[in-house]
Amino acid sequence: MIRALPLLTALLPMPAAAHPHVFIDTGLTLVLDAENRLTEIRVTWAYDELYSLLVMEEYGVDDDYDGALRPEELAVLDGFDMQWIEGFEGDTYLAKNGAALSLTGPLAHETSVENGRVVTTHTRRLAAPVALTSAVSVKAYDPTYYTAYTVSRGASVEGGTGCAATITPADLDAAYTMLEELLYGPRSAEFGEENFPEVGEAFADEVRLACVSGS
Amino acid sequence: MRLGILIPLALALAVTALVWAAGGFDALARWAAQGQREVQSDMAGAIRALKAGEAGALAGLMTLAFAYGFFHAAGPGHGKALIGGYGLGRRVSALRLSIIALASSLAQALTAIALVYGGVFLLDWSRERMEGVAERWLAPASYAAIAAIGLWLFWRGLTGLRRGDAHDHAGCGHAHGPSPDDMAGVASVRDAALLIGGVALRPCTGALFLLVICWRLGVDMAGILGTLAMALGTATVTIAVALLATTAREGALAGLAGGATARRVLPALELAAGALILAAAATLLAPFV
Repeated sequence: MIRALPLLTALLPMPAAAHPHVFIDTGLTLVLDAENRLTEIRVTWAYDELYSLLVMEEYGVDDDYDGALRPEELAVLDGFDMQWIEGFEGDTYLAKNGAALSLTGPLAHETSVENGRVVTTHTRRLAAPVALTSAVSVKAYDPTYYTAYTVSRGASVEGGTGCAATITPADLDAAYTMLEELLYGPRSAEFGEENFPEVGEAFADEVRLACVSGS
Repeated sequence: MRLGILIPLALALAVTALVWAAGGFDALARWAAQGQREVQSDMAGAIRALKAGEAGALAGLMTLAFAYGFFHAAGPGHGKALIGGYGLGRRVSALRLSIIALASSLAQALTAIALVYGGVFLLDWSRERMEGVAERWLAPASYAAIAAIGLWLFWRGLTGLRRGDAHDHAGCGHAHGPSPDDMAGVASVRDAALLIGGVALRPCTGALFLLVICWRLGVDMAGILGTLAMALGTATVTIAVALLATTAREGALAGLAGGATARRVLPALELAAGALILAAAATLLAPFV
């Protein structure tokens, strides 16, 4: 039986955290200053239809149930996802040369509705302007993977010269393989639902912001 | 020695059933996640159609809720590991374990309904509060029930092995050790209750979403029926796991009827299944300790 034990630990069920309940289509706009430094990021979240319906009903808007909202209803909804609790990082992560870049909380925000889906946009400023001497990586993910983000609304650059953002979709096969190694490998005992590392990140698309040299 | 061959054989079959139970297949996990995403969108449309009084909207919502339950259960989850592990560890008829699987899914739906309506009417809770109760109190209670099942199987396997040894040494004719017939003894009501409780105590977040939306929209019955349809969808997967597990066990042990080897292998299998379920429960419980 002893020989069989490593095999048995390979059969542990995945924590519930490893499957999402909310799906968000994300769009990113990277704002540069005249010196090609990254100063701000605008993040758009389009919630899935079911979660949108849940939010609308919880806020008591859309009383004609057509999935469209009047301006005064939008005003009620606006900011519903901007009251960030302590420790919430905003699910947007920036890094340069592997070092995390710090951001402010949400500054400006607005809310709209498209085809029954709640869409919110917020702006965050970098703690200090970041020179693009090397590429900046931007990822949208919920570390706990309760929410699944996909950068399907595109990534664009505003301002600056000669800079562009490219999206590399998450390698889902690699993500599931990594997930299984973490869950079932020798370190699996260290992890539970609330300290599970990097699951969400493995499923994250990556946006890379880079400028052509000499610009 | 036959024992040396048969245990790995039984375990290989166990692995087939449980790798799936544990969500170990990339393609399946991706397919399930994509399916859930699509069904989740369609469900919102069906709820709006229902509210608008469109004909056939309720049937549409039921179908989608069923599909949601199926996709959600096809992904990773605690129910499959528990039902599958038990089916491998204990001799229980495929029919009986299937009924237990169905009952546990339906009971899980009732937990969600009780949590939402109890929370709404008795305690005036917000949805966040309900999700909090589900995560902080019901989830660990569910995992504790799972641990109890694992411990029970482990203990039975251990005592079964010990009695098997004593029997061999004594070399006498009467059956002090458990025979396969004893093992065939019906899974007790207590086991069934623990299995159902282990699955049911933790409600599905998707069911909470559906119930809260339908309550807000004043179409409560659609939410309740949808939640039950979701449970039936979940049950199709857990029943498949139950059938797989019981078949794997019977297949592995078919050649052992009544021999001394069976007296060793059966408790060993029980012990292994118990250890597996215990380890699973320990992982799930760890963040709460």
